Amino acid sequence: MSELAIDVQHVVKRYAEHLAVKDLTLAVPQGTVYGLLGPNGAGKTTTIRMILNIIAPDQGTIRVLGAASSDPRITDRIGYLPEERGLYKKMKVRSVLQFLGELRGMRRRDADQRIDYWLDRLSLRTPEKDWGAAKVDELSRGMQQKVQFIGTLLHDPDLVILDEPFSGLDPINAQALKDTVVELRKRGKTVIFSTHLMDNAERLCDAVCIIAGGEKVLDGTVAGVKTAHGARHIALGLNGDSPSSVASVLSDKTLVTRVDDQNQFFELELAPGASPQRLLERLVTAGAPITRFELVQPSLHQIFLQTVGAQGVEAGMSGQG
Amino acid sequence: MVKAKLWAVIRREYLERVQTRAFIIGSLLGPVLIAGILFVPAWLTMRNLRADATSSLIVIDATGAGLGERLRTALTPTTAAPNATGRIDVRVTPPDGIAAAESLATKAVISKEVDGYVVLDASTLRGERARYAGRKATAVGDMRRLETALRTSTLAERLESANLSPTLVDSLTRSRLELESERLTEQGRGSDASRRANTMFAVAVAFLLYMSMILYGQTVLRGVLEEKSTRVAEVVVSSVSPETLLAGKVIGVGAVGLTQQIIWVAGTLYLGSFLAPLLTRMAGPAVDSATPATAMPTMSMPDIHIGSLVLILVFFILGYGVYSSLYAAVGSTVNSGTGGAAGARPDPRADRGQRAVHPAGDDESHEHARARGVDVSVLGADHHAASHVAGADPSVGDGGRDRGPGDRVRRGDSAGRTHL
Repeated sequence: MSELAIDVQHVVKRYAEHLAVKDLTLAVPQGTVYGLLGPNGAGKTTTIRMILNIIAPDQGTIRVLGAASSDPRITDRIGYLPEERGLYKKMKVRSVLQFLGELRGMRRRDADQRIDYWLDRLSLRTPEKDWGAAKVDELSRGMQQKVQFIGTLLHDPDLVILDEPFSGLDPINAQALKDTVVELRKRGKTVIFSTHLMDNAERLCDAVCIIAGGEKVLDGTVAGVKTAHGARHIALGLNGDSPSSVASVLSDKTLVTRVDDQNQFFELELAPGASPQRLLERLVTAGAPITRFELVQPSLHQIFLQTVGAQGVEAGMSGQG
Repeated sequence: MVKAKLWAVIRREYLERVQTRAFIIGSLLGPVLIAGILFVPAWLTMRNLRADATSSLIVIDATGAGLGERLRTALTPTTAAPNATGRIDVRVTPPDGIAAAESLATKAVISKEVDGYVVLDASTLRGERARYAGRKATAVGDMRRLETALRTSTLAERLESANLSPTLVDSLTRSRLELESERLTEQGRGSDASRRANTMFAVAVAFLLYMSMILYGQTVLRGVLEEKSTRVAEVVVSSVSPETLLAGKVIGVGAVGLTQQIIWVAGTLYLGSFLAPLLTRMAGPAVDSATPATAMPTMSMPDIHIGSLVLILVFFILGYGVYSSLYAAVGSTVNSGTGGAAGARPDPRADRGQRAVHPAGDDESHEHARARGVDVSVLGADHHAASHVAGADPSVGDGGRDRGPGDRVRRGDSAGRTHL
């Protein structure tokens, strides 16, 4: 993967009394699904807006699809679904889509064909009812989301940027979105989406970047990130109430640095230098009724909590996504 | 490519607005309104003329010299319109019968049989005074007409009594001298009659121009706010530069305004082509009457040249350019908040936006708009800061959300002040 779809170098964005993005460096290879993860207020939306040249970074450079982000030629190759969606309420659906298509450099006739395709595909046009002829504010929220989604993909962009695409989607639309992302990936398109829902990211993304408080905490392929954090996590299942000696083993910081009681089982993180064998031995000695002892890859969720930590989440509360 | 996008923005703005009910109704009613402003006063004047004070009059003639008859002749149009002549009732009385005749005439006026009465006596004959009493005493034109007729009659009477031959007197006094004044400007000449109409037309046009500039300026403001509050702006601005978007909006809305102006002007001219002959017909008898025309508030169509029409459009474009840019600048600095409850927000913000602009003569507010206009391109910068504060506010919860919009507006306001 020689060419980068997005290359963000040492970008800083400062608002009046608030540093939204601090020295962020990102590299998104072409043809990947890339997750921009972070708590609310981490600077995800700010980063996305800078990538889209909606706002300008105070420092640093951003290159998109091999050109400067301010290059007007690349905007036609980008599709953008903002976190807060909106359409012209009084316009007819088809007119809105035509307009959005034209803004992305499409010709009206081509746009019309693509609109037909998408309206059919997302069942906004059925033999009984053509929602394309309806005004936007006659549509339900879910349908408006579909229309917005069509607007994002109408011009068949090479780079699709989705800001919190799953927020507010019902399961059916969410599934349609996932299917589309997978399909785009198969066709060699690059998809970037921001989310704070780790499950979605874990299932969809090739690579992720976790940011908190405007800073990159970690990035890399999902597999790589997991491997880097893997083999240090243990899923421990205990049958019924365990003796207090077990609790003392688990609270031994030389063995276990973190314990996450997940009700059905514990997710433990081994302390540096401690071996799983040693932990198992101690637990058995302590008389723990073990039903499961497994070395596991941490979930993205765990990695997220671990790397961002409570502090990052708190810091994130002061801003917006 | 940029041009194609600008064109797309312009076309959307234009087509979406031209198809609204408000535009169609406004365009149709406009000419009616202008025609109303132009023609109703003219029509009222005409109606006044037809039933003017001199057409329904009792003349109490105590001169004993037949001045009353003479006055009647002077007041009677030569091309006799039947209903305009019949009502001048000359009552010859001896000088000591004036009081009785007057009280009789007063009754007639009060019972609306006639509009008024004139008392002619010896002092009239001496050229000193005559008296009129009646309903139309305030109608300046009518009074001047009556006065002129009276002067002419008195002069004729006195000339005759100075032994000039009646025919000579008649030919001498029957002058129908009219002062024809012409408006002389860089653009050329216009008659006095049309001057009045021109003035009226100018006032009407100025009023309508101003109204539509403000109206369409605010349309731009509303458009900007709508795009922000519905969050369309973010998608649009990711495809075109804010400059293109704003330019497209200003041009598109301007084209809508221009369309409306053209419809209004054309519609008014069209309506005028029906109404003007109507007025001329109504005015006909009075205009042709024997009385001098100086006192006649005749109406004609304002002399509008293609040049004036083009000028109107140029003025609209220039004025609209100023206003809409100002409104757009204000609109782009008034930011929408984040989160749900978006429906509640546009109103207070729109309100605030207008308040910020309305004291247009106020230099400080101009400064304000300009100062804030600087960060037009930094879309969302303020709003970020605003929500930063909002997020830190510990009371922001469900209860906080209710007062959220107002809060934000206030905050936005104070943020604006600090820019100064």
